[in-house]
Order: sequence, then structure tokens, then C-alpha cells
Amino acid sequence: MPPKGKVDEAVIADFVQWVQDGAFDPRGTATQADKQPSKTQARDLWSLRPIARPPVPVVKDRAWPRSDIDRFVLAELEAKGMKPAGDAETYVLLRRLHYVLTGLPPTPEQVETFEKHADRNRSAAVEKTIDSLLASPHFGERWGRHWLDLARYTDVNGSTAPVAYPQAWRYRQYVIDAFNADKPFDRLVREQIAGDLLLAKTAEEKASNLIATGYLALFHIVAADRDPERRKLDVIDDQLDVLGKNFLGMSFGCARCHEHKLDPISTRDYYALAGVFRSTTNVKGGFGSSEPEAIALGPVAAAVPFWMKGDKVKVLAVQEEKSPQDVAIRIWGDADNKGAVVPRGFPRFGTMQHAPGVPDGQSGRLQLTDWLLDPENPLVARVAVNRLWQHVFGQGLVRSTDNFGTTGDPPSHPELLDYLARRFREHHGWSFKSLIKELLLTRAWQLSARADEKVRHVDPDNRLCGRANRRRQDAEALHDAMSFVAGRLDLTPGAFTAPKFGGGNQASTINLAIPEETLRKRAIYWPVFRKDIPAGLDALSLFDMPMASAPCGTRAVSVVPAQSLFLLNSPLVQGKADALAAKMLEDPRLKNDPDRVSQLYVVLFSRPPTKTEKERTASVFETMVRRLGQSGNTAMETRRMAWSHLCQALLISNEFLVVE
Amino acid sequence: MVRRDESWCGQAAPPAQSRRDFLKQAALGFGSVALAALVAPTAGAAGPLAARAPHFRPRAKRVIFLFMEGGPSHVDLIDYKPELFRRHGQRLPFDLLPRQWREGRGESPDDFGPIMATPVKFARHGQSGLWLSDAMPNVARHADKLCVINGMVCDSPEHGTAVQQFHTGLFVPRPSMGAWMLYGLGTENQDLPGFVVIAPPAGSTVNCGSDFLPAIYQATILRDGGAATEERIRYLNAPPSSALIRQEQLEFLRDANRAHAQRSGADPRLESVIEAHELAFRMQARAPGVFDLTQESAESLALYGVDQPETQSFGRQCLLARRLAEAGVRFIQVTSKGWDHHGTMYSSLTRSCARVDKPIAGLLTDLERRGLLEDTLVMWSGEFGRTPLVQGVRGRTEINYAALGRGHNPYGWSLWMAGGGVKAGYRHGATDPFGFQTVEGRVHVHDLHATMLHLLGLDHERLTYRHAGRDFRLTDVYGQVVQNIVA
Repeated sequence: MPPKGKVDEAVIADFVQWVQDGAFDPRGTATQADKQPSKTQARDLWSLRPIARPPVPVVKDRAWPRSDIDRFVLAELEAKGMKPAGDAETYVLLRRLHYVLTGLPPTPEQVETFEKHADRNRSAAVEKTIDSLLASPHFGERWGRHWLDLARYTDVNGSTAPVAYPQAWRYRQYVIDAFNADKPFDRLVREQIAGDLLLAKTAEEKASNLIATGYLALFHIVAADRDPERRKLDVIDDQLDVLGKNFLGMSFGCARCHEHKLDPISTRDYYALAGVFRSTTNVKGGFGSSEPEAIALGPVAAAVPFWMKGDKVKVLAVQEEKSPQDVAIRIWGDADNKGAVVPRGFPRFGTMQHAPGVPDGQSGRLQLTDWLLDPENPLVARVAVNRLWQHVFGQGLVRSTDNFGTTGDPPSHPELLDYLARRFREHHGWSFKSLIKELLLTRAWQLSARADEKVRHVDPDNRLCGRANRRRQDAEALHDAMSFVAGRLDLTPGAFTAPKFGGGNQASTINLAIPEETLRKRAIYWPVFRKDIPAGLDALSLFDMPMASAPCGTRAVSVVPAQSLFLLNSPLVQGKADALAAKMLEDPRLKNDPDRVSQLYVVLFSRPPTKTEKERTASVFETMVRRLGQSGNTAMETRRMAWSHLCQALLISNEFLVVE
Repeated sequence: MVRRDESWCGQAAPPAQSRRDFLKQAALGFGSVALAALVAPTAGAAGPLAARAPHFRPRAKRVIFLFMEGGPSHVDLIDYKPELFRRHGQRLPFDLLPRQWREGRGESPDDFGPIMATPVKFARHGQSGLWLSDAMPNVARHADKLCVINGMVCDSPEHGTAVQQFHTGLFVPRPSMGAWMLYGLGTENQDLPGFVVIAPPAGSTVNCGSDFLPAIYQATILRDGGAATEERIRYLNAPPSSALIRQEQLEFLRDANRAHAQRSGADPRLESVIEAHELAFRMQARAPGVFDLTQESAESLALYGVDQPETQSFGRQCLLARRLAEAGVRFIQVTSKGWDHHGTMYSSLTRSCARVDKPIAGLLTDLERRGLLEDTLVMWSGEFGRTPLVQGVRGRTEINYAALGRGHNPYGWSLWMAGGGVKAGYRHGATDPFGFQTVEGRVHVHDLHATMLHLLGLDHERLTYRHAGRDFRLTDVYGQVVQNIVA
């Protein structure tokens, strides 16, 4: 009930003071300074404790481990009275290597060579394959895509009207090339957040660094407000969301409007960081469509990579704002309701002793990268190695890869996570390829996916890593593999591939036709849309490619009937089946149908068919030919159709869709 | 594995887990179903789409949402404002304009001129005496079924975001209301999708998606095909070339998957793929029959205006909506495009109305005579309404009212509902004398969502889904049920 009459002046003054202080929740603590999460609170959260140097555990079965990582894994299994699964079969292992590193299946020739080498020396054969796949240009296409999920990469924005970003692909190619060149993680962080501020020796390096900041420029905002300041604050919110989830496993967004109820991020921390991005250029355009700034690349030498070339190229990038400035707290996130101005700066997590200050005249992005990469920052290395583990093993040690906060999933192997975080930095010098190789060489990674009933019962989700994780291919690998085995995959990279479309705030791109030549390329080169994903890209959107409007560290794996209908009836999949059938029928080395059946299984599954499979395939083929022959088709047509239907069935079967 | 109580719809276990249990219960694993059984009765009563009991006694079992994309002019249709007719051509004083408008948060204010009336005529209709214009004469005959809400507000004056808010509650990606309802209640027909959008609005990925809810709850988009043979669900129909050998092919696929699953040891992920295939096969067998409008009588086609060129398209969509409702689909949306009348206000409005008037009236008649209206909530709405001021005057000295239109109005607009437990022949809320902003009985889109869930027997505060460490709702932290309109 409102009080009668005017409130006492002193009470009014208290309210004024309280609002000016940021309208904090007065329960518990009383002053702003105390609103920082206390040291004790912070230490309670496992992810904010200093990264430990855990001793390598002693295991009972000394013969099993190949490395210290194996010892960490085995120790947990032994503690639960469990045994690891057996080693994976050779062909299974080869497929797993190929898919994890390149997203493409091995060719029959690669299968033959590997089997031959593995017979003599399995571990040497594995290591040799790892080395050659890490050196393949397809590695960057596979692992770059993992990064693009985090960077909410898109070619067409669409909070309101669809707007093409015809330069975004340069950033995509930067990421692919960075992974291929094994650019160390610390370098990737610095270039993407502050590339424009780094000293560059050549024009090429300078261009590459600038393109890298596309990471910040590809923001997603809702452009329904005429007010530029409000739009700017929305852009900053997107950038902080991406940054917080990608590198720290923390969601900052809540603190825009109120103290984070669950994680150690205060509203002050939020606006201190917001100042850094307020001092960074980023947004142009207005009501209906806000776009990132396009910045001229400047002249580069003729010999640069193709993604820096072009006539008067403008790239999506960020730069320093002319006059960097701090930002006022916005009470309840309302742009017009200003509280205290917070100096730009960075929160001290856990036991971090210091955080860099931001010099006048600078945005603070350089200092932000220092702070992220500070050896005392407890989150960045843990979050990064956990992502890497997830993509290699199929499931993170912390399953909530973007959430290391109090509502996240605790690590299954906390010591192993710390061991890896230290090793990534100290031993591998932040090299992805080097750490990936170490993980692939473990015995734990090379296990079979089969589990006996007891193991399934005790550890249904395989939290103990006692077996391999069986996983459905992600959208890109699914498409690429189908095209690849059908001999229809164009392996050259692509630039901007979205066809022209009409604009306007009620325009839809759902029926936009995607050209054949685009769909022949690897799926990473297909255009990404934020709003109306064209039906022509169903091969990706039906199979859980994430929405490009927010960072996504772990994709959903849905199983819905619409996928089955797509696999059975879409012209895209049927086209692959036709092409695969033609390839089998036209291969001069294959003399007869039994030969073809054998080869088909090797092409699709990297193994020959069993006797039963041979017989079953032959009898189905016979029935199909008989039925088709009755309706007046020529013998040639009949054979082609029967082969195509056989190929399609195997192409969409679980053994092809799933990586063991 | 911790398994939460599944009988509690707001707390349903994630599908990956329930599917595992579902398969155990339904004995459907490993493709053990013979081909003949594909078209046999539906699978077991568990699983993510199984019909679930609501929180309390529902008034409606399903929703048909007629979306008028672009923002129909409420002041020319269902919010009668005599002042517009009296003060046509006069300027509206600045202090009578909505606050956000005065602050310049909407469309550019310079482009607006005086108050505009159009040649529509309002009259009282039915026993209830609801004021409705003559722009939709056929719908007006159903006045005594309508529950008109005149105090609607939303947060955006811009189409993309307002459409998004109407469908999902917020401007950031969130599950569509249809996805929430399907998640809360499941569906009554396991052979059909439970959430169907016929001819989707722009931004269907965002507006009709499931976002963080499991993908099984997203809308199935039905194309508005002209030809009866056209495939309405993408990839529903097998190519004709497959007809003779499809059965062998599917058996072969099923064998391959069964053998693979046996080699792999029991793995729920493999089982779930096999089960999704089976569901797809059932859909292929059953759905085309539901879509087949040739089964309808000539009288029925005429009722919806399918026999007239002007109403043929929307009529077919409304008829399809009724067939889907009858078949047990939970949430059906039909979209009419082209309601963004910035120019030629009267003639454009008349044309838009003519396309939907008869089909909507036919739908209401048909639902009623089939006994479906009492538990089907029909809702007619745009994403916002339109301004009482004429728009497009910039630089003009002479205003040609016939050539100009109205701007976007999220500050006070209208929609109507019918059936499904809402009061009939009733009006709730009011705008100012010009229809510019709500002054009484304010209903925000969040309140509308809370009310829709309430009518379906769901408590909007209890229908939650845990995602990224917290429980999410359709209404976020907002929403109050408009008890006043519940019959």
C-alpha cells in the first residue's frame, strides 16, 4: 500500500542515494563494494579454483594405459570397480579418425593401406594416419566449423529484415586457415578480440588480423529501436554473451539488468566490460536493420590467400572508437535509467590477484586478451580443453561446455581437466593439433563403443569414458560423407554463396533456391541464415545445425521423423544414391554384382560385407529387379533403379549415419 | 540416470530419456515391427508426443490461430471509434499521442498527418450487439461467438520483432507458443505432427521453431499447394519411381539397422533412429488422407469459399485446419499475408478482408456444427494494429486519404477469439477515443499467452523447461491470466 501524504525528506534522500548506487538488492550486504562476490563464495565454485597440478594416479592394471591421460581415466574406472571396453576394431578406428579429424570417411584405398599397416604395427599405423589427417586441408574445415558454432557465424543476418553480409565468408576462411595452420589458441584469442590493435609485420598479416575481428562484428541484435544508444547496448550485450560463454563458460547476460543470481558476475563487472565494447566501433544502420561496420582492408600484396583478395575489399571488423569511454550502469537494463559510471576493467575470478587496468585513450580490448590469457585466469584453459575433449571424445568432461557456473555440469574427471588445462598451455604451447594428437593416441580414445549390460547399467551415459561414445554424425559430416562416397563432393573452398534475395522487413528467404554448385561443396561453405533458413538447406537445419543467433558449444542431437522423411524422399539424398549406384555400375574394375556389393560395403562402411549381408543384398536386388522388370522397364533401367534403391538404403542406415 | 516423474507435464523428462523408456514399454525397438504393422494402430502411450494430462480442467483441447500478418487495422474492423469519423482531417494534440511515440521509438513521426476515417461502416451485430465494421460481413454474422479484446499491447512497432513476440513472447529466440503447448500436452494423434503451420509467416524458423525445447516439438510446415496432388509436408511423398520397390527397400533398411543394432549392443540412440523411421512411415501412410480435400462435399467446399477464386486459397487453408483439428492436431496456424496497409487503406483492407472473410466464417460455422468449437480455441490476430493517423504525408501539402494508409500501432490494438472456453459476444478492454493506446483492460502478449495456456488447462508459471541452468516459461517472468474473458 502506498503511504498517505508525502514521504519524509530523509527517506526520499535515501532512495535517491540507493538509485544512484545502482538500486542494488539491499538484503544481506549494504554497500556496493560488498556486492562483489566474496572470495569464499567464488572459491566454492569448482571452476574458479586455481588450476591444480594433480599427481598422476597410480592404477592397478599397469599394462593398460598408454599415457598419463589413460591413467586418469583408468583410475576412475577402477575406483568404481569397472573395466574399460575392448579396443576398437581396426576399420572402426580408421573411420573414427577420419571423421573426427576431417569429417569425411576413408576411401577404400585408405582402408586397404591402413589395414595392411595396422596388421604389422597398429600404433604406428594410427600415428601415421593422425599425422597425415592433421596435415590435410580438410582438418580446418572440420575444426573451423566447431569454432564457427561458437562465433554464431552467419552470412545473412535477420533479426528483422534479412540482410546479406557478403564479406562474412572472409572471417570463415580465416578460421579454417587458422586451424589448418595450427595457430596457437592464445594467438586466436588475441587476433579475434584485438586483431586490429596488434603489431603486424606485413600488409597480409594486418589484413588477416583485421578480418579476425569479424568474430566481434558478426553480432546478432534486434533492430527494433530507433535509438542508436539502445542499439549499441544491445550489440554489446551480444558481444559479452559470446565472449563470456566462449572463453569463460559464463553467461554475462543476466548481469545486464540485475546482479547475477547464480554466478559470480556483478552488474558492475558487466558494465566495466561493456565500456570496453562501448569504446569499440561496431554498428551502423538503423530501425529495421542494423549492420556491422564494414572497414576497408587496404592494399595487400598479390600473393596473399584468396580470402583477402578483391577489389577495394571491405571487411566486417571492429576498430577503436575515436573517444573511448566508460559506461554507466543501466538500472534494470533500461538504457535511459543511468546509475553510477563504472571504469572499464575486468573481474577478478577466484584467487586472481590482479586484473589489468585500461589506459586512457584505449578501448581495453588488448588488456581484455591479457586478462583472458593470464595464467591465473582459472576458466579460459579449462573451458578450451573441455571443448577440445568434447569434439575428440564426443562428450565433454564438463557436459555443459558453455556453462562452468553454478548451474553447469560438474566435471566427471576434475583432476584430468586440470591436468589437460595445464598441459595445453605449458606442454603444447596452446597448439590444438598437438593436444588433439595426444588425445587420439590414448588407449581410452581407441576403445570400442560396445558396452556389456553391467557397464550400461552402472554408467549409461559413459561419464567414466570406459568406452567410445557412439554419436550420430553432425549435419555437415552427414551431408559431406554422403556426397563424398557418391563421388559428388566438390572439395574446393567457397566464398559468399547466398543467392540474391529481396529485402524488406516482411521478406522471407524460406523458398530461396540454393544453387546446385553451392550444394556440391562441403557444407561449411553453404550460406548460413539467421532467420528464415531456406528449405534448400534442410540437410543442415533438420540435423541440428545450431541457430546462428547465439553461441553454441554443444549441438543438440535430435531424432525426429522429419529427418527420416528427408533421408527417404528428398531429391538431395536420392541424387546421392543415384550417383553412388552409377559409380558402382560404371567402375571397370568391378566385374560382377557380387564384386560391386563387396565394394559398396567398403565404400560406405570401410569393411567388406559378411556372408549373410552378401546373400541378403543379392536376394533383395533380385526381387527388386524382378518387380521392376514386370512394369516394362528396360534391363538397364531396371538395374540402375534397383542399385540406386539398395545404395540409398545403406546410405541412410545407422552404420553410415553413426560414428562408433 | 535420474528420471523425473513423467505424469507431471511441466516437468516431463527430456525426450532422449523418455524415449529410451518408451521403447522398453512399447516393445518397438530394433525395427521389430513388420511392414504390415506400419499402418496398424499407433505406438504406445508414452514418449515425448503422447497426450498428457494438463494441470487442471481444460476449456480448450486445441488451438486454431488465424494470423493476419502485417497488422490489420483494428480501428477499421473491430474497435469502433466514432471520434475518428467526427474528427477526420483534424490533428491529434501531441499530448494525446502514446508516450513511446512521442519519444520517437516507433516509425518516423514526421510521416504522419491528421486523424483519418475510412468509408467502412460500423453497426451493432447479433444479440450481443458487438460493434463490428462491414469489412467482414460474414464474420460479423458470428458476432455472438466472438470475444473481442480491444486493449492489446506489445513491445515492438516493427514487424519482425512484433511477429516474433506474438509467436514466442520475446525478441530473442525462444520456443513458439505452439511448441510449448505441444510440450505441455502432447498430441492426440501420433501419426500426425502435433503442431502444424499452414503457409508460414516470414521468419518461420524463429517464429514456429522449438528453440531450446526438443526439436520434436517444432512446427511442421504445410505448404499451401494449389494442386491436390502437391506434397504438403516436405519430403512426405516417395518419388513415383520408388513405388514398386519401396517396400523391399524399407525392409532391407530395417534389416540393416537391426543387424547393426544387435552388433552394437542395446543403444537407445540407435533405437530412437529406428523408431523415428517407423513414425515417418506411419505419417506417410496416414497424413495424405487428412490433407485430401477431395473427400469434402461440394457444400463444404462452398462454405469455405474454396469454389471462388478470391477465397480459394485461404478457404482451403481453413478447411485443412478444420480437418487437422478433427484429426487431433494440438496447435494449427494459418497465415494470411498482406495486412500491412501503409497505402490505399480502404481498398487494400477491403481486398484483404474479402480473401479471408468467408473462409473464417465457414470455419466457425463448420466447427460449431461438428461440435468442435466448444473445445477448439480460435484466435484471429495480427502482430499489432494500426494508427488512427494517416501515414505517408511527408512532403505533401494536399492529403489524398484514399491513396494513403495507416502506420504500425503496438500501443493499443485488437484481436478476437472464439470457442474454447472464452466468453461469447463479449468485449474486453478499451483504447482511447482514437484507438491509439490502451486505456482499460490492458492485455499484453504475455497475458494473452498466459490466458491461452490457462484455457488449455496449463498454468503458465508451472509449464517450465530447464535449459542452461534455469527453468524457462513461455511467459518468461511476465503474464497474468485474463480471467475476465474466461466463460
